[in-house]
Amino acid sequence: MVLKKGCEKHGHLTSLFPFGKGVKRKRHEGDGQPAVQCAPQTFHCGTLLDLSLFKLRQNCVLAERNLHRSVLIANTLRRLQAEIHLESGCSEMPTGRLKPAQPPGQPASGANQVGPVSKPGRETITDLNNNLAGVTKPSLTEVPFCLLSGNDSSLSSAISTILQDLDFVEDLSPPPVQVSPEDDHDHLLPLKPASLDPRAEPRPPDSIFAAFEIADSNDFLIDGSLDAIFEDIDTSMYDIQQGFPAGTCPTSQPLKTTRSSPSIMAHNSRTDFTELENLMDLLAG
Amino acid sequence: MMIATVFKTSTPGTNSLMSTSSFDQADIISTVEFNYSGDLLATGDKGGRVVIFQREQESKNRPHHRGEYNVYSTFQSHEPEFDYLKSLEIEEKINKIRWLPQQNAAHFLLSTNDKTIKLWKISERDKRAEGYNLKEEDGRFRDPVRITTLRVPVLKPMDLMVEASPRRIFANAHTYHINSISVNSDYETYLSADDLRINLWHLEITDRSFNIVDIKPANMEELTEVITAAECHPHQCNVFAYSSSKGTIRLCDMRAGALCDQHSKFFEEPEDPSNRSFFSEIISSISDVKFSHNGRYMMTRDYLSVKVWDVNMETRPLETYQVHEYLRSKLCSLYENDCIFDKFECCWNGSDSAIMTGSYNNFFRMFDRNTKRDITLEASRESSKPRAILKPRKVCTGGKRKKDEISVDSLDFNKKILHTAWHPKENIIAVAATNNLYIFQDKVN
Repeated sequence: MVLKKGCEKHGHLTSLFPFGKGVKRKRHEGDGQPAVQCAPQTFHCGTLLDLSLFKLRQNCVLAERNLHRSVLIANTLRRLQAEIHLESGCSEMPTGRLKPAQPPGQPASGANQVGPVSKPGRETITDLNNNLAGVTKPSLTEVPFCLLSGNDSSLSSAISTILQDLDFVEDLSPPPVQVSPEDDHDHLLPLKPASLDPRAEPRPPDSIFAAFEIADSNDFLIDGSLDAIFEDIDTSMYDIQQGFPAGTCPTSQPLKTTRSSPSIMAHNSRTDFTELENLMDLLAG
Repeated sequence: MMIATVFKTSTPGTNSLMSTSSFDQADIISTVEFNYSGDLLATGDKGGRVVIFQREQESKNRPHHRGEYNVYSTFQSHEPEFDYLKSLEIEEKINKIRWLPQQNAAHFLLSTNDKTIKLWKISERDKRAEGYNLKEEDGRFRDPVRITTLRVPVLKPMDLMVEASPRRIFANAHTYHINSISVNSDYETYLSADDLRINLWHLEITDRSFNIVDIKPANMEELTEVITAAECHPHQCNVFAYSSSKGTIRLCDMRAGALCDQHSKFFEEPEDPSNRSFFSEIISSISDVKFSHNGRYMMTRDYLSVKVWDVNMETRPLETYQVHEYLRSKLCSLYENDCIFDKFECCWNGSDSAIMTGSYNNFFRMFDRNTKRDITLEASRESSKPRAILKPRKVCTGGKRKKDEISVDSLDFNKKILHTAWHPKENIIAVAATNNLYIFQDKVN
């Protein structure tokens, strides 16, 4: 894949979102000077929006879901959405579900912030995903604005469609353990063990990110009586470890739990053998 | 500045006659790591396998083979799994390998995929016991009733065998994809991080881990930031750092509280308004964070640059190195073809005087922190014949292209070097280029 020719892997994307083809590029001045922005950026906002929505939907239906990637795309979508509304002269922020909650008292949009970004002071830094932190980025006023690919209602409906498609997946992950503020100051409290019970308490309805949790299927086989099904299967012959010469074939599989043997005598002799093996391992180093 | 000499290339799992364009996806190398002494080099691939290379000892009979790395052990670490309830495939790809310091004749390493961490013991066996009482020489069990005498088994030499056995399996503690593992300096605990949580484990205890960072919001719709990497401090067992998708690094002290959601130090560089774009956040996402060996500095890798931070200065990085700034004008296309989401790693040399990271077109970059010089080299079969000296490469960003320069538009974005490792003591580097592993060393006069 060469950038100039477009992406073979995403050939269909190239046809839908023609970035790579026939795009005029300005000549770079040199290494030390600021890179020239992508020339056609002025009319890409709507295309970027469509592309981002497509990627987000694609990521959600893939077998391997990537939460990190989805968060980045969703944040880009929010930014694009904010810019579109800003330039279209909307007075209030959109109420799409992708938008994080704005704390009261803060400006509804970044329209009033121009010039250099001012980072919050130390006292305003909050925890990740606490939304109280949100420094709204200043509008990209230096980029003349773009044609819209759709209005607000079509965007909201597209987002809603994506969310509805994901909504069928029930969130079965362990809930986050809420630590009270007092606990953080008590140094004598024991460490909080990670919760492993996926059914500890019911969770709110799924969101676009809730589908990314990996639930171990073993978590649901909590009922110990299910083990009784396998009691009569003797897998002891697979329990013996075997080594292989260096650099040739894969070595032993993980040790399996030894099932109960039908023969007590055979079980005793195998136990003795195992103990002898361990002893020989110690002697052989 | 280091001049590279190639002395070994390896393509585990592929026929050497095959072209690189027709390799098996499972052979793509996903992690590379030297052990503490540098004698062993472990690689993990997308197929869940771990291949360990061992450095050859010096030999008078083969002087030219001093320091060559040969395959020492290969084993299947992880298998693919499937969550039937959510129809989710759990990849067997090895995300990270971390060695434990050697304490006896055996070697131990941690390997992890998206969900499960395993502790492996790699040991050598060069003796075999003969003369068991309960077992025949061919392995059949003897009837205990017929045994009338006892004998002591005798140890006899045998061909060297390398065994890899899983000693611990740490499972069911991560709901999201594990992106980092890091062994603590106490050599008893280690941390594992996924997109939203960081857990602390004891190496001996597999059924419990302690959650030390949890950034999962009560409402997942409010999620705007994830954890991208985490690492323990090399000397202070109570300190660790983790990076985020918004380009921030948090240093936490486990002595401050059971839950380290409140950071001790917060590192973030103010955004340059002249470079602001829709993709600013994506390219600021930190893909790797590494402490220097002396513990005084941290290095972070975002999409376009590598930054070195002083752990005592939070306001801005100490040094910034541009890896491929010429890509800044291509962000639109890189977003379209998903390359903008590539996660490059970075590494220090043993003395913390140089850093290395990968790029596209099988290029990798090294920066000398003292002289401020940098070099671009290429890891490819054509330019990496054994004993060959690598030529520096240069990317032409505009104007007339000089001889041996490559144009930005001609870069192959399928050939990316995401994983590199530097020998802890010598100038030997390991570079993973898709399914190929290249090992280069400094030219010795």
